[in-house]
Amino acid sequence: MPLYVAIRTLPGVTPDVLAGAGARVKTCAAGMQSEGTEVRWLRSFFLPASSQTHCYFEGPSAQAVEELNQRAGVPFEHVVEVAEMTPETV
Amino acid sequence: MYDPDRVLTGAMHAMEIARRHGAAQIEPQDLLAGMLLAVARFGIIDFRGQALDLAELGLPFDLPLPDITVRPHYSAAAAEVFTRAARICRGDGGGPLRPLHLLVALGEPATAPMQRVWAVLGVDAAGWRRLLAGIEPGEGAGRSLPPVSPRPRVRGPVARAAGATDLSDLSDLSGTPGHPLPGTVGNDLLSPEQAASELGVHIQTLRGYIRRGKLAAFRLAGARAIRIRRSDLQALLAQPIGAPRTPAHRVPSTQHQE
Repeated sequence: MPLYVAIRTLPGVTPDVLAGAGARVKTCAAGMQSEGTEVRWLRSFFLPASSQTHCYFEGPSAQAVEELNQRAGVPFEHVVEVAEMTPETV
Repeated sequence: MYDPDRVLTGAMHAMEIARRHGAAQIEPQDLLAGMLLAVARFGIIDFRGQALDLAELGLPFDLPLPDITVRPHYSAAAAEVFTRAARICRGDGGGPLRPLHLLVALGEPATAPMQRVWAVLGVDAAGWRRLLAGIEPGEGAGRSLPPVSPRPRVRGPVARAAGATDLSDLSDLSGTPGHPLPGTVGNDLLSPEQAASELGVHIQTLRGYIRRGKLAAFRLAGARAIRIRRSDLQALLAQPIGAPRTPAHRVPSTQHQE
């Protein structure tokens, strides 16, 4: 399953807003899975210096990941496919 | 109630309710209905001594299959509920969001459907939190909390209670905010649970009063719900000890249950 990252800039965001957004993403992912779209939120990283959040997903397409974020009401600048690299793979 | 996975269940219910209305957005009242369904079993939420029958709110527990052609997203108001729930969850010790965090958040501020839930239960915002806290495991698990003090019923025409007979779908609970709430208990009508609370007797004791004709009760036309007039409660209290019992109305049904 391809990996994607949703990049968002959320100045002034609070931990409660992030936690609430995460819960909405989880529930919307479950909803899309029930519809037959296998999209999953894997993990997110918050970059305090830039107020950016990088959220990683697996799914069939960038459009599916975008739809998931739109349904969850979580804004994003763009969603792009990523290549995964870990210490075990190099 | 305290299982984080139930949040997913409740959110799925909320999504289905929005879908059923063909709505583009999942609103807070959909979340309320969804989370209530998620924590109920067979449509009953047991608050340790005080039960909430979702049928009284027009919420069927046998849900139809979803229509996946409608793909609603969370409204800004619903998103804000999640943020408030996360704040409440943090104050509750953190960890995964649970349905009761959302149910508390949905009371701050209360939408009209939430106020209707409170009216049925006879509680206010503080009483609602006490009910939810009473079923949370931990220090209080296995221990009954003191009964919630009933607050004055929501004012409304008695005829409004008759509207409860037509609650055949979720539209009353997940409908337009501020829409008149069918089934709201009028100022002079009490559910059996509320009447038992006001008398300070167990619900089964109160049902015995009804069965024996000691207390008048009325079944809403076409519905199983029973209502008791406050004046009949007062008449019951006015009977001095040892006085002969006055004849009273019986529930016009052969069933001896609510």
